[in-house]
Amino acid sequence: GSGEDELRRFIGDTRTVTAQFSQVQINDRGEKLSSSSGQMVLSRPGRFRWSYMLPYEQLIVCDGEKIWMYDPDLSQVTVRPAADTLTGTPAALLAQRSTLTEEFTVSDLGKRNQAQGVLLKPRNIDGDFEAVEMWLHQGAPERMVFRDRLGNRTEVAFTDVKVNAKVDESQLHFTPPKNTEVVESSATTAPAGPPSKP
Amino acid sequence: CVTTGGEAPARSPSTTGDVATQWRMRQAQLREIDAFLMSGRVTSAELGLRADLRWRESNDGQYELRLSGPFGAGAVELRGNAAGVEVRNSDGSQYTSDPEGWIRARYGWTLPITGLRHWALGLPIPDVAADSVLDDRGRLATLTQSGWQLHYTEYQQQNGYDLPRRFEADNGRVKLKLLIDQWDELPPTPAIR
Repeated sequence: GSGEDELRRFIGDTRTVTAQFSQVQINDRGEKLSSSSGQMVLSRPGRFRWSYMLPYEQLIVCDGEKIWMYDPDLSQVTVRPAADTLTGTPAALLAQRSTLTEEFTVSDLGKRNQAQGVLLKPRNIDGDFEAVEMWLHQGAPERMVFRDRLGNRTEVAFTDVKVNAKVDESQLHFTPPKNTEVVESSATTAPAGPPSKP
Repeated sequence: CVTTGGEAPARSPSTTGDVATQWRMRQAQLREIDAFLMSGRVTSAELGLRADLRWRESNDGQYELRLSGPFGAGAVELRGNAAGVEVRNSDGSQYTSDPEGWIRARYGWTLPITGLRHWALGLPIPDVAADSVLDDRGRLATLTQSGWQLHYTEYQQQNGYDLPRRFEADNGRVKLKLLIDQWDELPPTPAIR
């Protein structure tokens, strides 16, 4: 299917992507939970920078080893091992080390206004996301839709996408600014802290 | 007292009056708030927690509380009222009459939901013993209630109300830092009696 070709092309040929993104979260009743925007830098495999500017500044940097989530308003950064955190989230997915097909079953979504779509269903069912739509145009991500298991949806649209451009290395590292509280956290993504998962 | 710098000078809800009078009038005004939609962030160093918080309270006593991580990952949602709530997360959904207990059993810590409903507005829980220290504008600076100590460090003007923007809640085991980015769906400000 052509969606899968685009995906293979993305995995095979894309080393860096820079783009603006806008993100909307919609709940199971169709209510908008939040909307945000910012810039993304991707350096495959395994590294990304997801920098929110609106509604407030927040920065997520994965340097390949650790994921830093920095809130300037709180002067706090939460640090987690990169390996299993944020699996399946837009950022981690795009920077995926392994081919996507190892972790997801991939099916074709066909074409929608020049973008080719694939539906990724995580093989491990206790991840956060039930399904991820990835819409690609000439091998570059244009839109992604994340469905969690509560019926909520996070939609991310990319614009001003540049593929394989030179990327400033420092963007893919993070050093906590002076008097920022650094919070080491276990590998879980659960927002409510280390879950005692059954 | 705590100086709350960094926000626009708030119209004090009353004439000059002394701080205690201001606080009494302010409480009367804030008690009128029977509905709101609050979005912000909650973090705790001890727990390595950083979550987006969305809390909607309706005037029929129903409330919805959502904690979620980046991109909505790891979301936990509570929907219900004081009698009981449906709790939903990626493992499914359950009904419980003790949401705080449910969260503690599942995540090893919990939000003082009943308390936060009032504390987030800058009010003590009504009819429960409390010690409070006011700032020079008749707003809560410190509140000790139900085993928690609250420190309010920043307020913000929203729809004519002077509401907390930044506060900490500490029960000796866990310290929660809350930053409230936005208040919506507030009832119009009642005329100050």
